[in-house]
Parts: sequence; structure tokens; C-alpha cells
Amino acid sequence: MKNIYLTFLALADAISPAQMTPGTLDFESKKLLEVIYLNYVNGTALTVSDAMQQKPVGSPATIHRRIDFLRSEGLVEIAYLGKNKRSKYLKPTEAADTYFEDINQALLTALRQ
Amino acid sequence: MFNGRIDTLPLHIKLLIVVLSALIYFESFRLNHFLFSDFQFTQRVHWVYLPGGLRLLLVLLFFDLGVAGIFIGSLMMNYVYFFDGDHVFAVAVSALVAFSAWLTRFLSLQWFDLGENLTGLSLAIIFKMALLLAVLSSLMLQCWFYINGKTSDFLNSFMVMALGKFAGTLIVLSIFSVVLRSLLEMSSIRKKS
Repeated sequence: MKNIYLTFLALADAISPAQMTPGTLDFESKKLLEVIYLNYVNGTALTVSDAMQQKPVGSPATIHRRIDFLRSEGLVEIAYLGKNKRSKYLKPTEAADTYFEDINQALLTALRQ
Repeated sequence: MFNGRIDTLPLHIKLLIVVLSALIYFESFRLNHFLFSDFQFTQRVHWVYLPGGLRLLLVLLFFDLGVAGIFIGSLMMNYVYFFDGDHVFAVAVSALVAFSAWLTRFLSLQWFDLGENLTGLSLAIIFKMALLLAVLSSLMLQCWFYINGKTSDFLNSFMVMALGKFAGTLIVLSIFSVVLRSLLEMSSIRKKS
């Protein structure tokens, strides 16, 4: 389905990527953090290459920029896991734990109201 | 309500897009002439050609409506500035200009594995598309000029024309990028205040 608005967004993102402000997560960054977090807690931690194949989140270039942003925000780090020293994986930090805990609390508060 | 889908747009909006595209395209030629008239290689061949860049933007954003706008804008340009009594030549040039833009979009979707709404687009792919449009359009036009005996040096004219269109595309995309950034900054300033 040909859509002018979606086309404009794709073009705008390619030419002038959205400026990500420190302290705020845009939609793609949130989605990517969720994917990284869920895979990590399920024991299938992602490498950077794995993450860049997550098409529902965005194009590889977009995901790469978002990974850099999540690292700069201290929500994700790249680290060896266990005894495997051949590959580095994306690992959520304690700040990411706090982030999801905050969302959980907000959800609970909303449900109580 | 406008949902962005081309097929659901009312006819008057479609016409408006075509007319605006044609006018913007035509005016970009006048602007190009005003700014870069010293950079003209021969008649119709420029070292910097802004309408070439606008062509890419229009066909990417507005699909077939953009192509129609380019065709009409190019017709206006040919009849106002270059008409020498040959209607077939003027219409054919405009058709080639519009067709090369349509073909660039069509081939780019196939070759660069883009979605219909340009999902997967990156800056690198835009550069490739700009280059493809510059080469296709210049090749088609120079062939037509050559057949009609209106180019004395096919190879040089083709190369200068392609370079001019590529340079024009980079300038137009840079302006588009600057405008987008300014709008984003203005919107973030408004949110903060």
C-alpha cells in the first residue's frame, strides 16, 4: 500500500536520523531494549550482529545507531558471557533493570487506579 | 481524513500534488538558472542542476503523482525556455525526464531490496539512487539529443549532464536534511518551553 507519510518518514530517517535526546528513549530504542532484555533473561543473549537482524525493530543501520545510543545511556553493555570468550553479547545493565522495574511499578499503579 | 495512502486520496488532493510538483520543478529550474547560470556547459547541460535532485525527491515521496508533476513541469520548462517549434521533441524530452525518474524508483526497489514505502532506506542507498537517476536520465536524454542532431559531443555532454544532476541531487538532499533538522530543533524547543 503506497503511503506518502510512511515514505516521508523513511526518507527523513535516512537523510536526517532523528536526534536522540539523552534521558529519553525513542520507540525503536525501547523496542530494541525489550528485545535485548527478553533474549538475555531467556538465556539466548544476542550479539550485535544478531540484534541487527531484528527486522521488526528497524533497518540494520537504524539498529546499530540505537545500540550505540543504549550503550551511551548506560542501559546496555557488550560483554563476554560465561566461559565463552569468542563472542561478545549485548547485556542489559542494572540501569536497564531499574528502567523495567519503573515501568512495572507504573503499570501496577495504573492498574490500582 | 488524510491517512497518507495514495489510493485513498481524493481526486482534488491528487491534482494538487501533481500541480504543486510541476510548479516546484519548474521554479527549481528558474532558481538553478539564477544561481548557476555561469556553470552551464552547453545549452541544456549544466555542471550543477537542481531540478535533477528535486526529481528524485518528488518521485520518492509522491510515487506516480510525482512522475506526472515532473512531466508537466518539464513540459512547461521546454515550452517556456527551449521551444523551437518542434512539439514532438519537447514532449519526448519531458516524457524521458519523467520516465527516467519512474524507472529509477522502480529499479531501486528491486535492486536495493526496499519496501514499497522505502523501508530499509539508508543514506548509502540514496546516493546510489541519485547516481542511478543521474546516469539513466542523462543517457536517455543525450541519446534523444544525438538522434535529433542536438548534441555535438555525446560523451562529454553525457558526463557533464550526469555529474550536474548528481551534484544537484546532493544539494537538494542537503537542503532537505537541513530543513528537517531545523524543524526537529524548533519542535524540541517548543516542547521544552
